[in-house]
Amino acid sequence: MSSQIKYYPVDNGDQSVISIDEGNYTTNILVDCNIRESSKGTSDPSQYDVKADLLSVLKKRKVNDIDNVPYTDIFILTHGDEDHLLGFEKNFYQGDPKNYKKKNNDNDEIVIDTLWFSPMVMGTATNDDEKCFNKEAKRRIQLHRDKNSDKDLPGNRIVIIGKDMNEDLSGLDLVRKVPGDVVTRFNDRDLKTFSIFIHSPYQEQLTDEEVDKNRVSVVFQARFKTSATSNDFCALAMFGGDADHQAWKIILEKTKKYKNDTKQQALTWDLFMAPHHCSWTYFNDCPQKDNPDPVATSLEMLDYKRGVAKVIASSKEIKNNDDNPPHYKAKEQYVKKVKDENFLNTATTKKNGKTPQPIIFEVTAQGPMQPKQKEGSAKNTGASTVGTLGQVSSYG
Amino acid sequence: MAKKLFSSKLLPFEGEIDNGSLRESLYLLKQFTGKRKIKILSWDKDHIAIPLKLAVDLPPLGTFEELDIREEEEVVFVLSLTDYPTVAPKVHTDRLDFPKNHLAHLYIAKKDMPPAFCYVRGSYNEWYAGKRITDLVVRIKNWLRDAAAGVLAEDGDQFDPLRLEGYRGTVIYSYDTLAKLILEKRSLYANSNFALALFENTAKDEDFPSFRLEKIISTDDLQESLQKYIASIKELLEKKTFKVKKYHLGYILWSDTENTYKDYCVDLPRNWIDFKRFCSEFSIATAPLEEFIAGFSMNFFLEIPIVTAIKRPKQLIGFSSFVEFVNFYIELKDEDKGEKGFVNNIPVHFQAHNEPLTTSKAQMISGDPVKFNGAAFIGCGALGSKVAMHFIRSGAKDLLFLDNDKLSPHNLVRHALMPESEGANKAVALMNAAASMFRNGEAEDATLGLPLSGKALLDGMLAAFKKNLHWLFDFTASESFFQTLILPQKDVGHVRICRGNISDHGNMGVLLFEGIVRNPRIDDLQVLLFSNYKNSDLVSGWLKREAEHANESVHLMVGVGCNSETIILADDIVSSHAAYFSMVIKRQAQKSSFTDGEIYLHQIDKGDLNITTSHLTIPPLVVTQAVNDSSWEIRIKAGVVEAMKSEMGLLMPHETGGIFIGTVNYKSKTIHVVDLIYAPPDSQANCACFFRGIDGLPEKVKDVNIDSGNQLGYIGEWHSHPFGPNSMSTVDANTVKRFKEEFEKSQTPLPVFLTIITPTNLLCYVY
Repeated sequence: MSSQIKYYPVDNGDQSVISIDEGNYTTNILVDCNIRESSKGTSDPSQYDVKADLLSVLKKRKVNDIDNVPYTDIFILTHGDEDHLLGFEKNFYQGDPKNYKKKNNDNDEIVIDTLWFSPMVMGTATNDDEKCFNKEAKRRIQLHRDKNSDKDLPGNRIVIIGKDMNEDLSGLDLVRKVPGDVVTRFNDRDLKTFSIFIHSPYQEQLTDEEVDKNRVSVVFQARFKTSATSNDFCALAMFGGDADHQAWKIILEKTKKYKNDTKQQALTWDLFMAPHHCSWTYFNDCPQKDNPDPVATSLEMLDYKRGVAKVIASSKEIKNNDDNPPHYKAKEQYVKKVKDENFLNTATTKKNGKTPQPIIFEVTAQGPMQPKQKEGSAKNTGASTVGTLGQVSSYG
Repeated sequence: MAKKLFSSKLLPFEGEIDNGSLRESLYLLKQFTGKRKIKILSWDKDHIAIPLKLAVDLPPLGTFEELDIREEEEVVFVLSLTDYPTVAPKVHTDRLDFPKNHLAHLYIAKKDMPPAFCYVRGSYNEWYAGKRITDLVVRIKNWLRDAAAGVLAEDGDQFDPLRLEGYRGTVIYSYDTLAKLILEKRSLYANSNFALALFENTAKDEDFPSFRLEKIISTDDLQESLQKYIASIKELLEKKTFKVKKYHLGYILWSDTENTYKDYCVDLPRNWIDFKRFCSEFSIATAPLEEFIAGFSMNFFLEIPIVTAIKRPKQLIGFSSFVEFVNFYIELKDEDKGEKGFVNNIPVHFQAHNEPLTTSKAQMISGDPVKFNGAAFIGCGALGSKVAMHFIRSGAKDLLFLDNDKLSPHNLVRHALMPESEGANKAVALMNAAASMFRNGEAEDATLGLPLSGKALLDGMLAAFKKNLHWLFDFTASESFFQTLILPQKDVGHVRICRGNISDHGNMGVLLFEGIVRNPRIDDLQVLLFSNYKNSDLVSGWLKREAEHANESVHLMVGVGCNSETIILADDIVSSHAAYFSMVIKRQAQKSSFTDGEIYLHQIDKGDLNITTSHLTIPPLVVTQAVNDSSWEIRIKAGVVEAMKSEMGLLMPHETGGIFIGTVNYKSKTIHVVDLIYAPPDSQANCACFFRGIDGLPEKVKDVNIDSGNQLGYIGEWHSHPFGPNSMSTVDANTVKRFKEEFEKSQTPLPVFLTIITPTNLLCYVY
């Protein structure tokens, strides 16, 4: 398998998997999750079975003498809103990895080797999945604060993104990354062809009197090279959670200030995940009719595209109305920059019948490309999902 | 500017399309492309051409190495009017300016034709048998996408070699040999860029020539090689037959610069002028070679092979070096030769390359290599030859074939050898078969076949081979050799002995592997296999059938000699057993160590053609000699001695006893004990005596006789001396005397075999 990025169709929500194929090892990085119970199985053709696909993508290993336990090397939470964390409680294992039991595997609970999160996990959760996530993060943080001998075991590892003044996180700088950092070590393994440039959140945002949860989303650039010795990046993908135009303004200014736009190509992108599910908040404050002009910094950020770049809106179908998100006027702004054919929507771009399909990009030396078109065959059989099987046949 | 399209030169197809499959596919193509009508052109009298525009998914950062591949590519599908869909379509680029010289996976273009896409590894026709025309469209689009993204090559770190098609004949040589020659610049003369070589033409007279590299000729052996060449020509002329070998002198040509080239140059030359142009594109000078050939009067045949070496920037996929060979032969007549070169533009043809088969390649292709480190095959009959041939084909080396029989016409019915070996010694013919399979000079190391019996090996005639022997396979089906083999043999303690036979009228294949230091031995394994009648219906049924057919003879033919024409046995049955044996032997040869003996059974039910296999592990036997006569050896199945001791312990302080089940071999003076029967209920015992009763005993022995097909039965008596003595008592001696008198009345008398078990000793007596 070549390295790839997969954007799942989860309506207004985010879930992506970055898979890095290096040597004989594939590192999987899950960015946010949005697993609806109603999407499992084949009962609702309008929903893609995200969990089933995730289980097929993730690798499996023996844990506590239990074979075939699914695991992700890394889970990055951009922020704790429900649409970025839906299904965490039911689908991911939480607790001491030494206590993973057969019943957890029977429930397809996924082990997270390394948890990446911002200091926001120490704050108040606003939904049940976030409560569980924060609890798990705090469990791992405590191991690291206690310098517990198990702290570096898979299932206990952490990376904190950003720095605030929280004393409970003091003394954890060894497992902390801040804006401007380039990460090359993932789940206790150094990678030579992949890195992550951390853009956000900045300390001043995290220490605001009233912290805006979207504004402090983890923003990062995923960077691929064809080989360890290559000087150029062959794929650059920007992930920004629900970061708004003010967050992007700071990102743009700080990156340029420290010349990371040129030294690190940290603002350049081939793939840009439209923040907040193609919301107008990327371009300006809402409502759009009161703030109809995109701010210059957001537009400038889009001008860092290279070649035939693509914008991916992880949202519902974008209709020409005033809904937000997704917002039609926001889409128009993106389309102005990349052309209509390069603006992709997880709800509509790839469909199999009524079921939306993930948008996948394979990493090639010439940039990220969608996979080859699949060939058919001269032979075929009807699958259990074939539409006519669910319909009454009538004959005259 | 007008587009440069090849199809613009093609005329519309005016004929009728009678081929229904073709009509359907054209309809499907029309639907798939969303066109109201598709253009049908005439490619040649047998093919139509369909020009299509395909949308190509181009990479976002531009095409690989700025190749001129476009978002919309023009291609031509070429379909056979009569043979479609059995013959798959070919697809050519329609663009005359397609960047063909920069791309792998394009076939060499025929003159003035655009190159065809190499769109599948292997056979187009096989692939297309499972596909529709729309799948081919998708595949071509993906081909173009991959070319644009620079991922056409399966391994980006290696160089994808040229795709050849439309070649004329083949040339066989070892790539590594020629690549080494190029890298070492071993030219015929100092500072030149070509080497002289002797090629054998292996093609039939009516076919295009196909060459096999015989040897590279250096100036040192030029005279000798040329004499050989002349001798072969003379022989050819004298015999006026092409059954003798035809040798051609040929050349290997390379560039004396270190420049490397990545262009593909898919327009291969068809004449000498084009050849020179082709070579110059890769900095390969042709003038010295042309002058040498023109001035060299030794060429008897018109065809002269020239293997041309192109230096590539990376190692070639599937090869060990960065040298790519393109193989040509020229047709040169005397009148084409001038003083310094050729005066006419002579024809040039290109050839496909084949690697010679080597044992290592055979191992690689087999995927299940077997290393014996010295193996002797005794008996090269039907079964032996087939098993041996499996190993030869697997690339096994260090094999010795022994058989003193010659191949008779009727042997061909079920022998691995073919009619050309008729009259030849079977072992020697097998060796020759191996040698002709691996003609790269390694055959001599791989196999040896001698017209000798296995006894010659055991008697020390082949001491050097015996010293390095690790395996001995007996496929003789010979009782005589079996008896020889079980006798104590010198210098075979390190050898694992294996015997394979077919029994039960061809239904049963039996493969025996001796244990470490020959315990269990093959005779042990055979007896213990019979003793398994108790646990296995497979064995019991077989033994009963054999007994019925043996007319109450106690001698069971375990192993049908297949060399007799009176034996009715089909070749496929023998092959089935041989294939199983080969697989089992390979598995055994892969083991790093072993202790126990092993038995493998392969039963074919000729009724419903079910095949059943069975595997038994046999631990070493207790081996002892008779106290009174050390020429007798007693071999007792593991567990029997423990059973006697246990019974002795249970019934202490009284003595106890019973009888043994087993068999005796007077030739080897061996008694095998496979089981015991405890004291019948009417037995009597005290601290000093045991009186073995008879209640139920004859019936029990009769059951053993019947169920084992008379292979096993009563073989002797045992009793305990829980408090000693460690010797026979007077009562024991009297019993022996009484038994001896009775046994001697039989036509084949049993020896009187008496065993005494004591807390410290096992005392066996044979009279």
